[in-house]
Amino acid sequence: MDHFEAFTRHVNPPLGKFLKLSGRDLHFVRARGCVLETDDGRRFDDWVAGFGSFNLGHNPPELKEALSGHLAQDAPNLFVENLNPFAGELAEKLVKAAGAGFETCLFGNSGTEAVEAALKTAVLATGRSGIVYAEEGFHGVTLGALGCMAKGIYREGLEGVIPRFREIPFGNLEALGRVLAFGDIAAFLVEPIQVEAGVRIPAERYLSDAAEVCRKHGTLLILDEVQTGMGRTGAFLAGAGADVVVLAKSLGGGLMPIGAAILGEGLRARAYPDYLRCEISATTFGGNAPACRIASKAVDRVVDPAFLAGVRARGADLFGRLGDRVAHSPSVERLSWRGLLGGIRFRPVENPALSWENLGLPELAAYPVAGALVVERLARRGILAQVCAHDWSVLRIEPPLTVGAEECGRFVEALSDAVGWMDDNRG
Amino acid sequence: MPDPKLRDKRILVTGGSRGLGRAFCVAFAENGARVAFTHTRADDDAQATIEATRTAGSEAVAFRTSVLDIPATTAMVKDLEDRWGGIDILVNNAGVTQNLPLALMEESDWDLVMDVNVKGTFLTSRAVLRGMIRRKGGVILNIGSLAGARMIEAPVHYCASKSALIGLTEALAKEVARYQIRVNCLAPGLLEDGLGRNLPDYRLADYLKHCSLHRVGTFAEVAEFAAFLVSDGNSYMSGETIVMDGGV
Repeated sequence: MDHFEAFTRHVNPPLGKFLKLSGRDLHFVRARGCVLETDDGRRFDDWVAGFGSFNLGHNPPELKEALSGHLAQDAPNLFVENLNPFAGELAEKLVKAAGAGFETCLFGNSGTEAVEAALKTAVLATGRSGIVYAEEGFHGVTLGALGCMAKGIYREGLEGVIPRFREIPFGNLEALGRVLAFGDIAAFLVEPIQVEAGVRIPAERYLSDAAEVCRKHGTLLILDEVQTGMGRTGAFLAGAGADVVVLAKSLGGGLMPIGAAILGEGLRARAYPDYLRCEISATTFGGNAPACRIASKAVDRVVDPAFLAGVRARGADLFGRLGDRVAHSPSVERLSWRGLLGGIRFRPVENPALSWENLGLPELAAYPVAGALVVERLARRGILAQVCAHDWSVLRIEPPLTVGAEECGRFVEALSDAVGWMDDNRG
Repeated sequence: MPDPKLRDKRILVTGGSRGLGRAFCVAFAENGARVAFTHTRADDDAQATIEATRTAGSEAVAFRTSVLDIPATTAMVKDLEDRWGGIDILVNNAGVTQNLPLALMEESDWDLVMDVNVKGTFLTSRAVLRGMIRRKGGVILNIGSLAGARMIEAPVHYCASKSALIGLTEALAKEVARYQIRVNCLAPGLLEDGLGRNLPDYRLADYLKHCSLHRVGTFAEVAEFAAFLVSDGNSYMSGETIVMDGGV
């Protein structure tokens, strides 16, 4: 059997069927930089970038070289109950890059594992059991992380086993202060920019003020930088003032799965004080040698001031042009962005011919259709795009940070055409 | 063992590297025919058809060409006539569809589906018919669809293209009957390994509810019937569209 068909049959039947039905069952066989190529030679610019996993582009040559070099050395892959020099090297770079006050790292294989490790560390270090998170958050799909997930499909049917954490509105410091005043909260977990909620950017002082409120109440601030970190916003991290920072996705350079919880000074000692308990948040492959070596190279690249300045400049140019071309369209409600992370929120579509039901997908009737229509228009122009998981009216703009002027030009033209089509057809 | 119904027949199938096209190649080979097919996508798929046809007892010939490429089609027909001495049977199976409602359909979408499904059938038939007319004999089988013959929920350009094949079949059958060439159209309903497998559950359930046999068909069922349709055993049928849908 064709292995693409095998995916539909044996891995994810509903996804395979949906892609087939919507004409998006593309057979990708090659990926380089910002471009994906199908088995019949079609090329697509990637503006999803693995939800922020390909900040350095697909298959970056220097990382590929590092990986093949590592494999050629026959170095140990795992250092179970032994000193791991590759994890040591990476952790040293991460605590330095994260800024003053960080000391150690816990490594896993994904963002959700890193979130779990951060939450456990907070509970163990503070001796408190409460966790607070911001509504519409997205921190992963393991059971603990789901406790901080927005209400909706990710939680439905699982509520009985999901921890009962406390939700507060994103960007609301008063609500944070009120809930922390009870004195039983170990950590406040929040994204510096809520990507899946629609690329929601808080007020400028929100995070630093939240850090202050947390400090006052003895609560740890955990920043989930899985999508916003690794240079995405033009800085190594989007936020500041955290006690714990969570990284994943692009930390592995798009080649290796790895997640890290970067812990502030003294936290590891408080949470895991002795030999008996020092590995209770470890996973077997967490900190494996090839993942750490690739991540070290990826960190080297994104902490380079010239690289970060390039991201800021490219973002300013791209979103400046989008602001000129589409932000004033009657179809567009808002454009939000920082660095090379952005979102365009579209107004509801009134045209019944463009309802989910009329498009043959009545089961999606509760969701906004506008973002998906723009995604379809972009695909016609050879651009892969996607909406935000919690707000389908928002088109995420999240290309590899290596995106060039030519690709940006194609995107601006294609999006302008798509928005023009929306203007003509949405009413 | 009965005599194979397509013994020594020389058959060209367009769009033969996957799905129903591959099933045609295999069924024709099992029935004693020599088989050639066209494909436009991956060579791996074509190789799989060649191997399946070899297992069925025939060495298939593959041509990577589009039915819209006139010079390549002309060259392919010449190649087969030089190689085999003629083509007895043409099965116009190559086709495309897109699951697009009218509101999202662009002129280019319409043109693509009509071009491949209708114009491609015209072009390939025209190229093959010259030899058939010269030899005063042959069979053309156009692969239509239930979507072109009944009012069902399917993209309008696809339905229109498959309906067009019914008209094309009737007109062409009339035009070439004087040369003892038969032209028919086979219009299958939902099949287990094609579009049917990717339909949303509610649409599949709706189909099954209205299907007398309460199931989708198989490629093998359609291919075996096609082998009969193009055989000499079906010598008195022309200009006909046969719907094979389990009794919808």
